[in-house]
Amino acid sequence: MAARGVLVLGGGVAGMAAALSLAAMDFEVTLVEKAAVPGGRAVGYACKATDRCLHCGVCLASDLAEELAASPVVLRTGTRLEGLEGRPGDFRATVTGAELAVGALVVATGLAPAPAAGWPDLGYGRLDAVITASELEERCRRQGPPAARRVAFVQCVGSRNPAWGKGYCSEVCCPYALRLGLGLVAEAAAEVTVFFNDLQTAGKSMATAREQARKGLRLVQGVPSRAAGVAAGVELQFEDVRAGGVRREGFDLVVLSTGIWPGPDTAALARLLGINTGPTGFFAGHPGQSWRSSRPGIYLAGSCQKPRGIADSIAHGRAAAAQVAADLEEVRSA
Amino acid sequence: MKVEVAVVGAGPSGLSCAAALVRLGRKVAVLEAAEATGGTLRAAPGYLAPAAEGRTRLQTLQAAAGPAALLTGHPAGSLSGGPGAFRLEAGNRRLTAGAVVLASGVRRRLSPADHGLEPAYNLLGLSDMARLLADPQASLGRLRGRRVAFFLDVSAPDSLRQQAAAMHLGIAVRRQLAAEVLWFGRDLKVAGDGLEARYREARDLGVTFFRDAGRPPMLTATAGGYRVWAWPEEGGEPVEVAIDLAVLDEREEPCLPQWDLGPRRENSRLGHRSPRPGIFVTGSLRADLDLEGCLVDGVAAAAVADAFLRGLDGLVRAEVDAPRCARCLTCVRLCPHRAMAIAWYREADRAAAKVDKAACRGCGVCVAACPALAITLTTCPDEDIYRQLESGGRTT
Amino acid sequence: MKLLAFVCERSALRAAREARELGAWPEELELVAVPCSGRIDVLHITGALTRGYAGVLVVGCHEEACEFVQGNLVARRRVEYLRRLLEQAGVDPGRVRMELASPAGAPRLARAARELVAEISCRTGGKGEEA
Repeated sequence: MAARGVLVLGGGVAGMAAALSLAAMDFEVTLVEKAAVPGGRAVGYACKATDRCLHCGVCLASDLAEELAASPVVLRTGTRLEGLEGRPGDFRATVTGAELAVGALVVATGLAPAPAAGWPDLGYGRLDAVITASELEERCRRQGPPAARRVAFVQCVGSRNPAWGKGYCSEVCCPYALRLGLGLVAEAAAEVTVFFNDLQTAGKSMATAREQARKGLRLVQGVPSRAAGVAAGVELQFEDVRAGGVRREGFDLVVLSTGIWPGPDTAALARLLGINTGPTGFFAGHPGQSWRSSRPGIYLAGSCQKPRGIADSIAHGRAAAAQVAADLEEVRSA
Repeated sequence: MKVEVAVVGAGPSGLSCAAALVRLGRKVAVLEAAEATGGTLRAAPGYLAPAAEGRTRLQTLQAAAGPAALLTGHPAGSLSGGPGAFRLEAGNRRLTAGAVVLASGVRRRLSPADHGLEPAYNLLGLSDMARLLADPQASLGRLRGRRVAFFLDVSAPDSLRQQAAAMHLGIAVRRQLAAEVLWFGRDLKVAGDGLEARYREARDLGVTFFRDAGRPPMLTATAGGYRVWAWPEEGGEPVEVAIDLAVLDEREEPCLPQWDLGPRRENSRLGHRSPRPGIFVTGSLRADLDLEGCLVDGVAAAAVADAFLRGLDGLVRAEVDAPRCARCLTCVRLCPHRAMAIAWYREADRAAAKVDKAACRGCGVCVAACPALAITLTTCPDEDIYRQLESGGRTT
Repeated sequence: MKLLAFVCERSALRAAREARELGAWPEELELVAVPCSGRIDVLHITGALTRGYAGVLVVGCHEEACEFVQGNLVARRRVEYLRRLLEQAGVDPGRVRMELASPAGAPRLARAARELVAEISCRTGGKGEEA
C-alpha cells in the first residue's frame, strides 16, 4: 500500500494545494504540519481589497484551508518529520509519534521572512513605530489597518544583496507593499510612501494595484539607510535617486518589507532527506522541473524552492502533485 | 478522434501540460496552429531563456509530450458540447475531449508608433531580435562595436516576460556580437527566476541601464541610426545618446479561439479554471510568466484538469421542473458557467431548460432569477433558506 | 431588534465567523449561509423583512473574487432593484444593504455590520447602539 500513500511536509498554501490535488487523484495523503493549525503564513494575512479586489490571493489560502478540512487528507498538526528510509515507492517516514509507509514525499516547508532585526540602522526592535510587513498583515487581519497618518514602506529588506548571500529578488514584497499601502490609504486615509530600489509591478494580477498605486501612493526610488526616533515618530534618512540628494523625512509608522529567506529548518531537513540546497539556500529544484528535488521520490512545492507568492505557490504545489502521481503510477506498474 | 484532454497550443506551457497529462496516463491531443511545436521556444529559443537553455528545454518538452497526438497545422476551430464531451473542430479534424486546456499564449506585435517612430530596417521588436540571433543566416556581424539599445515599458508596460527577454537578448548581443548594449525602461524587473543574477551579469558585461523617471525616452531617426534623449532624473537634463539599432518592446494580445468562455474578467478565485467548467487556462494566456513559470503552470493545469475528469460524475446541484419552465432563457443567459440550455424532455413531452450537471457548479444564480420558480438547487433549496430564517440563522 | 445577514459561504460566512471569534460581530445580526450571494433572490430578502427582521444585509465576495464569476454582481443588481421597489412602496430602503467581503477581511465586514446595526437601530428607535 506504500505506493498509494504520500506524505506532504508543511501545511502552507503549497502543501495544502499539493495534498488536495493528490487526494483528488485518489492518493492517501498525510499532511504533516509543525504548527497547531494548518494554513501556513497566508491564512493569517489580510484581504487587501480597496474599492476593488487587488488580486492578492489571500482568499485562496482560506479556500484551501476549508477544502482541506472537508477532504480525506489525514492531518497531523504539531508534528515534524524525524527520519526517512527506503526508496521511491516504498519509504518509511518517521514523524512525531508515528511511522508511515509512503511512496513519495512532498516538501513544502515554506520560507522565513528576512530577520528585520538584522538591520539595526532601520530601527526594528529599537523603535516601536518600526514594524515588519508580516506584523502589519496580522494586525490588518485581526483589527483592520492601524491609525497612522504618514506611513513608509521600506523595500528590499533582506533581498537583492549578494553580500548577505541573498542576491535575488524576493518577488512578493513590492506586490504586498503596494497592496497593503493602498489598503491603508483606502481604509485609514493614510499618506503612504514606498521607498524602493526597482519597483516590481509586473503581472496581470498586479494590474489594478499598479494603476491605483501610481495614483494613490508616493513612490520614491531610494531605500532609507537609517531610522531615528523623534518626538513625532520616526525620521528616515534616504537618498532620493531620481530627484537627487540625501533627505530626511518623518513618519508615524515605518513598515519593513522583509524578503523571503529559506525556512529555518531547510538545511537540517536537506541533511535528513539527503537532498541538495542551491546557492541561495533554498532546496534545489531539477532544471526545468523545479518541483523535483535532487533525490527521486522527494518533491518540492512552493517557497521552500524559491520565493513564490500565494498563487504561484499553489500552482507549484499542484505541479508537484502531478509529478508524484505520475511517478507513483509508474512505480506501481513496474 | 476521441481524447480525454485537448490542449490548445504547443508552446512551453502547452507542451509542459501535455507531457504531464501523458505521464498521468491521459489520452491527449495537442492542437497547434503553426507547422511545428515549441511556440516561442522554437521560433526564438533565446527569447524566454539563454538560447542554449531554451533549446534544451524544448527538446525535453518535445520528447516528454511525444506520446500525445500532436496536431500541428491545426488551429482550434469551433467548440460545442460540454464537460466530459466537448466537440472541437481543428482544421480538417474533429475531436471529442473530456476537458480542454487553453495554452495558446499571446501574439506579439511590433508597434513603432507607440515610440513615435516609423517602421524601419534598424528598428526591431524583441522577438525579431531573438529570431535573428537564432538564425545562422542572419548577418549580424556588422553590429560588432555598434550600439544596440532596448526600449521597454512603452508598448507593453510592466511586462515581466519582455523585460526578461530584453535581459537574455542584451547579454547575447553583448557576448555574441560584441556590440555595446543600452537598456531604457521605467522600472527594472528582476522578480523572475534567476533574473537578478542575469541583471548582474549584464551589468558586469557593461550593459548600461537607464531608468526613466516616468517620462519615456524620445527617439529620432538619423542617417543610419537613432538619437535618444532619456530623462533618468526627475526634471533633470536629458541624457543624449546615438544608437545604431533600436529593439522595441511589443504589444501582446491573447490568442483566444472564438469560443464562449463565459463572462470574461480577471478573477482571483478561478486559478487555472475558466468560467466554463472543463475548460482550463494556462501559461502566458493566464499570467505574465517567465519560462520557469510557464513550465510549472502547464503541469499545474494538468493536475487540475486530471482532478476535474475524475470528478465528472459529481452530484446533481440544480434541477429544472420541466413542465413549469417558461423557456424564457433567463437562466441560459445568466448562468456564468454556461451549464443551461433548452433541451427536449421526453417524459414531459416538451422542451425546457436543462442543467448540464457536469458544468453546473451550484451557485444558484439561475434559481433566484427563474421567474417561473422552476429551478431547485438541491444543495441549498429554498426550504433550507427559510428554515434558517425562521430559526434565527446560524450560530456557528 | 434583530437583523439578518445573508452570507456567501466562500467569503462572508468565514469572515463573519472570524469577526465573531474576535468579538467584533454585532449580536443582533444573525447569519443565513448560502453557496453564493447570487443564490439570494428578492423574495428571500422580503421574506426576512416580513418575518420581523429590522434590516437585511446581503454579503458577497469582492468584485473579481467570486468563485462563481459574477454571482456577487447579480446579487448587487437584485439588492439595488429591491431598494428601489421598497422606496416606491414606502418602506425605508436603508433596511436592505449589500456589502462585499473577503474571508480574510473580518474587521472590514464587522465594521460594515456594526454600522448597519447602529443605523437601523437609530432609524427604528431601537434599543440603541451596540457597537
